Amino acid sequence: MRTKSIRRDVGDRAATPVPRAAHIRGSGGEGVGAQLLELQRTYGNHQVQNLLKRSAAPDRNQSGRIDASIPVSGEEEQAPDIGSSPMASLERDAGGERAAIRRNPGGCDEPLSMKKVVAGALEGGLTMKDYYPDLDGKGYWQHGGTAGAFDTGARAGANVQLYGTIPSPCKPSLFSLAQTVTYTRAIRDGTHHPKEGVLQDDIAKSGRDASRPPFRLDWLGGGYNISMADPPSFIYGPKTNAEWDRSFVTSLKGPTGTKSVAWSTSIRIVGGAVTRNDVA
Amino acid sequence: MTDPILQQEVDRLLTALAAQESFISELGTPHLAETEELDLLVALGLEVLPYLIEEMKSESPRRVAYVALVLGRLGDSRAIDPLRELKLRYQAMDAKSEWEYAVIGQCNTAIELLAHGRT
Repeated sequence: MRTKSIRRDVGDRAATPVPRAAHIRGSGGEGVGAQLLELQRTYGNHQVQNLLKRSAAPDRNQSGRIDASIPVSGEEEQAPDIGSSPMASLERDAGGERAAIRRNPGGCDEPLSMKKVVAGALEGGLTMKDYYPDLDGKGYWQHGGTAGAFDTGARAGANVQLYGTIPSPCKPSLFSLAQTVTYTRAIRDGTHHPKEGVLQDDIAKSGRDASRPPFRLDWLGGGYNISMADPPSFIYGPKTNAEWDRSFVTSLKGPTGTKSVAWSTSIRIVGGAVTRNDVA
Repeated sequence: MTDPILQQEVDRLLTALAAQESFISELGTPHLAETEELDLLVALGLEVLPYLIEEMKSESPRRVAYVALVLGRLGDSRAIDPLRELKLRYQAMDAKSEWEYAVIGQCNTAIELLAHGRT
């Protein structure tokens, strides 16, 4: 996978003095200013400043955190569609043997990709606490800076981060997050859950506002990244028996196109002992 | 007209529901328990509608979340406007707990169910 650091963008393109945001965005000119205004309208100046700090803080770059925000560890469910736009560009893959016509990176009709992080550090230097500050210290997750399964002894679950990437000149507010969940197997102490097998709108049910922070957190790097996180969990006691499988589909919707990623969790509890706790 | 016995029964069932453990959580919001008390409350039918709307004023978000859930399942579209007002009131809160988010989520689901017949 091709990678490119923000720092290199800055160096390559900053020939004339431009606002700091334009350096970070690396696209320069009028589009950046308009995009910054859009961000400020959507998220407020404070959140935009935080976003810029996350993207540009030297200590983060030194630690490799921001460079890691470029999609290298996320698993991509759907490759970007091949476009037929007259502005489509020809790109060669890393091996140089095959060529693929991709939609113009400036096109804002749909996201470029949607990915899941189910293991390792969360992208963008984020933690579960950033997404759910109201739950901090309440035992809803463990190892909040990394994705993957956890078991607190009373709650089994997993931290998962989902993020989509759009071309950086696009208006972020044109893109929205969605998630559905289906309990594919939902048995607790011998009783099937009434919603077993039913597709549910997870975000509506959560009551959280998916259009703004802290639920939706964005950062810059390898494009403009729009993210959310989910720590689905199951509380159990010393005598609990359960088989609890959930299938999720998380999407980033653009004006005319959507990119989605599927992920799942599987929990087995026998006599109060967690015998399986998988996320994939 | 008030029916003290029915009102007392609504209070008893809501108290029992609010005391239930929520064992599933997604997107940082607990799911409401599907219990016998929930089925009993729904089975009381539309006569409980005014008592449930009155219960929206409760200071317990757990209790109010179950009120919204039951209103959606009762299937009477007269509950849509009170549910919308309830949702706006909770959305306007500055620092919300996970149970206050659960109230908003249950309002979303109930309104969708009552307005369009789907969740």
